[in-house]
Parts: sequence; C-alpha cells; structure tokens
Amino acid sequence: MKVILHDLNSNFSEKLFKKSDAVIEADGKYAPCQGCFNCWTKHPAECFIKDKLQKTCRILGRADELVIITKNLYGAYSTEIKNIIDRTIGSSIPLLTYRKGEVHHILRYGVHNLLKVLVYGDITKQEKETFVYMVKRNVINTGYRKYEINFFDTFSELEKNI
Amino acid sequence: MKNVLINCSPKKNLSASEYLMSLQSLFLKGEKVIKKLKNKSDYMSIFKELNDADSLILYLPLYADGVPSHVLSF
Repeated sequence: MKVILHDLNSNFSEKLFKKSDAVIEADGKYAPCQGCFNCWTKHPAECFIKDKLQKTCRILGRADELVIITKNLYGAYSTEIKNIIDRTIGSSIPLLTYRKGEVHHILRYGVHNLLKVLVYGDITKQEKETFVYMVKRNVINTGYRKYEINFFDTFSELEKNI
Repeated sequence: MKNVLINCSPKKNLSASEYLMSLQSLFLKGEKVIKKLKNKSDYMSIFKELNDADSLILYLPLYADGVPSHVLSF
C-alpha cells in the first residue's frame, strides 16, 4: 500500500490520489498530541482525541511505501506534518526490542519498505544535514528498510516531480 | 539577570519537564520567570517576558525524534 502525506493545498490531493492508495492532507485542522499514551495502553492504535487523525496510525502502520511532502522548517518537517507523525505513535507498541543494535519499540504492523521525503522551500547546508540525520533516525525508529530524501529549492520544481 | 523558564509539556501536571525545571531552577541565580507553553493563547504572554530577558530555557519532551509540533509552531 502506498500512502502519501502532504502539506500542500487540497487541489493536489485529487492529483496525488490517482497515484496512491491513500492520501493524508495535513491542513492543520486537528489537535496536537497530549502525551497520554492511551493509544498504547487503553485503546490500541486509536487516539482519544476525536478528530480526523483518530485512526490515522492504522493507515500509516499498514503502508509499504510512505511519501512525505513537506516544507522545510529549520531543518525539520512542517508543523502540520510533525503533528501527524506525533499522533501516529500508535503504530508501535510499548514493548521494546533490539533493532540495528539499538533499543526501539516493537512495530504493531511489522517492517515497512520505503520512506520517501520530498522537501521544498529555502534550505541552508546546516539545515540539510539536520534533516537527513532526523530522517535517518525516523527510518530506524519506525522500521523502514530504505529511505530517499529529495530537496527542491522552489515550489515549481516540486510540482514537476510530483 | 532575568531567566525565562518555559515548560513545554502538554500535560497539566506531573510531567517530567516540570520536574527537571523545578530541579534546575534551584541552581539558577537572578530573577526567574516560569511560563507554560501549551497552545497558541500562551504565545503573547511569553513574548512580553522575552523583551527584556537575558536567557531562555525550554523544557520539552521528545516526540518521534524531534521537537513536539506545538513547540515547533512557536
């Protein structure tokens, strides 16, 4: 299953939907994570906040290929995208295991195949290094086999590549 | 010297950020201002304090290998 997570406007959602199985649009109309961990303990893979992200971790957990299209924000994902990633920790479980010699959470839905990150907007060399490092850590933590990062300086460059 | 300490935990009480903040504030000299950052309505009161502050310390939890989204927007 191919899932696209993007923070572009809603016109792109229809275009991207033809190329994938599920599209999640990060429009910022949802609450941030409260850190209660009920998605691990009380009601697995389901958030207690009843909005459009309540069962998103089930979609992201089942994705073989995840494409994240995000704006650069100080060498990190944009706020809306980060909010979704924070709210989808229910795709792992509270028990721990060894992965690549490090302690990480066991994955509820197993190992995924490819994480692809497309970044647009102005970016400095230092921010690029931070971004690549953060994606590498995310890849190990969320259990992806491969990853790809592409940087686009302008929005029009990104449009051509979608 | 004015220090602004910001507790960025989304929890109301009993958070690790709050504990670390209370521990570190014992060793800080000068004036201490403690603020809570939870949502957008807290921004303006923090900005007012930052006008004449000498140091800013953020106490925040780690969410998915990064800064929590509500602090990132700040």
